[in-house]
Amino acid sequence: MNGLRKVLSLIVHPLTVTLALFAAFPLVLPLIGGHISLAIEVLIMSIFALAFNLLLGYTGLTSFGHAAYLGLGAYGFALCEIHLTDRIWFAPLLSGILLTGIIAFLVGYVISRKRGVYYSLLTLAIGQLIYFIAFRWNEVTGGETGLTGLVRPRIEIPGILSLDLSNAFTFYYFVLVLFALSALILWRIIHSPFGAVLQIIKQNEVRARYLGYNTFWYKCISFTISGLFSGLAGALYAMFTYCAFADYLYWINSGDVVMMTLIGGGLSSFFGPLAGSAFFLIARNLISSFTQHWMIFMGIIFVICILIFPEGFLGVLKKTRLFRFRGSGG
Amino acid sequence: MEFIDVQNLAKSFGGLRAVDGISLQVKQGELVSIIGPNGAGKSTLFNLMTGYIRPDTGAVYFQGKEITHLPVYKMASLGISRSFQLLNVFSELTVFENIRMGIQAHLGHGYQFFTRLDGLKEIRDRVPAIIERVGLEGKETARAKDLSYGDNKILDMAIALTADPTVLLLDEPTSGLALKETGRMIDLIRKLSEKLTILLVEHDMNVVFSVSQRIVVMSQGRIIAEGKPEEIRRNETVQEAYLGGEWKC
Repeated sequence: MNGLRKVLSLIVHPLTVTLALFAAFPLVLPLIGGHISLAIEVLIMSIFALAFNLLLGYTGLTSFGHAAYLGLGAYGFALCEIHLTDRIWFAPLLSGILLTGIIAFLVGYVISRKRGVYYSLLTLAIGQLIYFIAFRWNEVTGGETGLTGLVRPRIEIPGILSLDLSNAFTFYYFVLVLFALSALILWRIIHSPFGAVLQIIKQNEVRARYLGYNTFWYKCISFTISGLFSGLAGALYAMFTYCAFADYLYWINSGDVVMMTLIGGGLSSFFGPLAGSAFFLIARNLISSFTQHWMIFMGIIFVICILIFPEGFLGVLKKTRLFRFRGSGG
Repeated sequence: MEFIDVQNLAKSFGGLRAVDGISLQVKQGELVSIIGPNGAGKSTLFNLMTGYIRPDTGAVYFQGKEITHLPVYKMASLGISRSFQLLNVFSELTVFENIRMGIQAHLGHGYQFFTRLDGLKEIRDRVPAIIERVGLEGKETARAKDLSYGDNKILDMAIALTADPTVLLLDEPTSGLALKETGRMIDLIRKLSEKLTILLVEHDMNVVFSVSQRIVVMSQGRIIAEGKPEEIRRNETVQEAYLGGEWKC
């Protein structure tokens, strides 16, 4: 019976449930007046929010300039497609991920010795610096106009698959596969010995150091991993919108991901960022269709949410023990 | 060659001379208590010795090798562990998990990204021994923040033991404890002192006089007296410095 129990536990595993929900999402969304493109945006931002929460919820590091890594992913994708190739279908995606990962590592190396407010201010400053470079470096980034006219490479796996991604539904499920991989990898990292060290760094960095952990490298690597997945999200965003703009890196987007993660309950739940990203983007979409002053309403909603339940949506659900999952995280 | 050799350590914070030229030698296996009023610089001394703060001048040698400028995270691998005056455990983790994190560091498994944390048997198997050594049986699954203050102090000690140290720096291990718990802690410290070299910062004179082989008295960043417990008890400078002080004799 052990085999059956294992299968059952896999089926009710929160990751499986989440994937099932996201698989059904584009079919359900039209019922509340949402377009498939909103679903795609939610999915891509979910990857970004998960990457962001590795830093915030698990390592205890607040980055106020994280949109820079979204933007770098987009530019990496675009630049590869424009200057190198769009024939190898995964090359632009990989370029977005690697470019962002490398820069995130360098930034992480510089900032990981700092603590608290200094750390966060540095991330903001560096984020804006990267934005500024993207905005001004006309020859490479297209400056204010950005890089446009991108294509979605056709996926070719000889003998197995030939997929045209121009259809929105096809593209959504393509992103879903990448989302599933990202979620799975991040889940495993968080529940590994390395992930456990990140969590004690968040609780008590001094004691972690006395135990023998060189916390500098753990924070640096955490930032890099976060950068890699943010780069994936950015590259997918470029693929989604067919362009890369400096706007993607603007600090307001950095603030958005902080909001999403906190409202959803990222501080106490792995899936919080997903709930937050869905809620945030759907709410913004709905409200902005009624009024041009949607920003005020979003702000009010954020304040109310944080006042009433600072642990976020999933944080509250966890407290009511509706979702009980063995082991840390969940 | 002394086991621990502190030479002329000094540290100032702004105009305040927190530690003002401390020299101290400790033999292997000794239990030396460091006493003195609040603000004497005792915790600062521990901070300096373990690399948490950089000294302005002076040096620290351990088994003949200089460790003065080594960072905190290198202490555990040298065999130097420390407990803390203010509670310094991982409050969200259980007793078991707290201890496990120490053993994980000791065995060098920090950089494993994809193995299941629960699956590392060799780490898991070492936890019960530590729990038994300090007497926290039955409390493995309790979260640190749900434990009593006394149990947390013991946990703090347990975490320090996970590095399999040869030197223990204990910073006021009995502060805030009730009488019965203090007795428990004294027994534990005595047991540990059979195998380890211990430096003990304490305010409770009952504890100090019952376990120490040697006592060092600090005041205003300096050592004002040093010697066997009976000598210190009779020392006039010490009595003068602390008439009406915080000592409970």
